[in-house]
Amino acid sequence: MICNYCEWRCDLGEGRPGVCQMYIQRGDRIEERHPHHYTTYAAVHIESVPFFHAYPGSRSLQIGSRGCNFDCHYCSNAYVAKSLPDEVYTFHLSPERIVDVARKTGCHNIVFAVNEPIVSFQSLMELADKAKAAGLPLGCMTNGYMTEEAADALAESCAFVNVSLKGFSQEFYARCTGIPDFEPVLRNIGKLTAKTHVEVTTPIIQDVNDQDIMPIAEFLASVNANIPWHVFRLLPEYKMKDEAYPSIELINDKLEEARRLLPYIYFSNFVGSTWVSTYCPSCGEKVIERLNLGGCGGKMIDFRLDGANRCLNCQSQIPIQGRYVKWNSGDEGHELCGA
Amino acid sequence: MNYAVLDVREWDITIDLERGTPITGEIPGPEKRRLQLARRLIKDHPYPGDFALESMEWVTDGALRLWKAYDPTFMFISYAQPQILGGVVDMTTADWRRLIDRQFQNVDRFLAESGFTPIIIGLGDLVPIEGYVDLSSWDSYVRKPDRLYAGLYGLEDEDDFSRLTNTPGVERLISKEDFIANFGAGKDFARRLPDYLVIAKEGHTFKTMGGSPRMGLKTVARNWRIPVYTPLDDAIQSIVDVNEVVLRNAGKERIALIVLDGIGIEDFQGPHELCANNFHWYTYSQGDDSYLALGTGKHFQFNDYPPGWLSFVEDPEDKRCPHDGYITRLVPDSIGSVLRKQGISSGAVGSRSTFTHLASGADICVECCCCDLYNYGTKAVIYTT
Ligand SMILES: [Zn+2]
Repeated sequence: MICNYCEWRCDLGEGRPGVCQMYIQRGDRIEERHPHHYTTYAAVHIESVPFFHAYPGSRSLQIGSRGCNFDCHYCSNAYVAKSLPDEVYTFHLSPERIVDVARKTGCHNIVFAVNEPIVSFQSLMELADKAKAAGLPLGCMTNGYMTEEAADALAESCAFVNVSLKGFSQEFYARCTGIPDFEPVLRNIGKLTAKTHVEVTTPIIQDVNDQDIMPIAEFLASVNANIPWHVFRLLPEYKMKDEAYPSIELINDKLEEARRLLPYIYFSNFVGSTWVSTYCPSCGEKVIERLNLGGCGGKMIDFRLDGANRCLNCQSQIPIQGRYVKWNSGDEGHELCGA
Repeated sequence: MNYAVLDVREWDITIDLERGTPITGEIPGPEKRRLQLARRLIKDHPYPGDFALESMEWVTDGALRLWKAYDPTFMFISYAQPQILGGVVDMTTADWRRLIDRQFQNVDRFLAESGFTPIIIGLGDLVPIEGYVDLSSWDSYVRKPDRLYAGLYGLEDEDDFSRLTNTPGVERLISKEDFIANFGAGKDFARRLPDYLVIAKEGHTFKTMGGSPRMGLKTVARNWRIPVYTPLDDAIQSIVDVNEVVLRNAGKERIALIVLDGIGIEDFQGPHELCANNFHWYTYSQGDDSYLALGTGKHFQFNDYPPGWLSFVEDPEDKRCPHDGYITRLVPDSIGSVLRKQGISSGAVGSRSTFTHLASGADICVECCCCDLYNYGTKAVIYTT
């Protein structure tokens, strides 16, 4: 039987494991091998995932399973994404239990990050139902290499999605991630953007894919110029440990050009980055201030938009999914955090 | 104002340590000189990474550079590699012996070149992980880097209590009320203490919300006593005595407090005494508990951060010291801050990231900027208060 979750479309017949090794054929069904098993759950700032234009200020219950359908040579989460079963610890957490934990720890939403959600898609969809019933928005980080059917289901279930667009050439994708064709990733960015809130992330490896900065910016602008684009300075990890450290000035010079096409470009994954705040494209005012504390994304330290997400200075609308909430607003009355 | 310089190779930025934001205004003269010195030092001396053996030489070379450039009277030097590598890398006994030899060669080299009078303390052994205690079905939390202790919330049922107490790997459970009644506690510590603390048996570690997915090979031992060496006449009977011995002698001679993570009685080389590493049943776990005990001379419950504390709750937009993880204020009575008031200069270099500047409070601190073992760069902290 063919697995139709991602574009590898693996034939799982006769006990074959498939690329991600997370599904198995049982009778006439494709099933997860380890449903509802997670390697991590923690309360984090949504900006650290990163989402900069969705539910600003909120506390997210970040969850992740294990496994991936890519083999990125620079993976910083290889110990989870590419792990053997005995290398990471997994928890069994039912969808009900995840919702319960989110509520008890004052989380405003749930986000599947750390590894690729498409490898745990059935669990994710079940969780989506429970989260929806509980009024908790669900989001995820994905590499976008899913089938159209899966993308539709994901858009339906997730209020916010961050798609990793790792480069803009087939040669790069083949060499650095192992997939034969990256066209489905582009297609899915368009598909998801039409139906839900999308942010895009691109890890930049100097001299490997920094020439893709303008082509990616042009592509995103053609989909929707309001897409927030997170550019990561990639630390050499995993199979690329010995590559040189990327130059921040050089990459930022290239991003300056791209900022003419996309007003919301962020440059992070290095501690102290000063390119993680949001500026009003109309008047230039700093409207959301963030710090980078190391790692991707950031932490919000000031929010200066009105209740309808308009610039306080010039009233221009800043595209944001959901409303600003205070970090501790979910704590009230909950047994763990409610003081 | 207190400052930090964050250096990520080829790029750096100076920030206000407590607000986390970039410095825009002019920096006063004496502070500026120290900042420039620190900035240059870390620019030329990037941290190799938690998994690199050379990070031991990075500490030694950095300490020697800082000593030559700043000439502090007190130095705080900490080496984390034995604990980090010993915990996650599969090593033969011979590899481990070589690592320990290399560690002590580094200590000897620093002392031989600088002539400081040492206090060398090993924070404890590592033991193989025998099992995990999965608390995910309970409302529970592990605050990194805790491994021996977890927090438990809302446990009411008597059956639950006995079921948990009888879980393999659990040594005991203690309620917040009992803890405070028996041990006392500082105000913030008491407020943050979970409803129950769960204590692991040696060789066990907790898996639940907030913890790391990594499995690891070894974890910190429950050491009641740890090795300490100093040629000074003062007796060090407990981990909390070190601070006072430093303060008593720092005005008289140049003292270096050298902290070795992951090294206990098993591996300590050279002459040493043993000192207490516990408070009743609580054994220090080579985390902020050990570091703050050294830095302030106070037992863990009088520093601010209990195990199992839901630290994320106290991380709103305006949290102080945003670059210092869950730490909510600079340690007010650290060694360096006390010495500074007496006009005694201090410096620190360490590979245990923020613990270096938090515990030492030294005028100039140089440390790695790491989180979950990722190497984000090199940090310098300049205290003025
Ligand atoms: Zn404006």
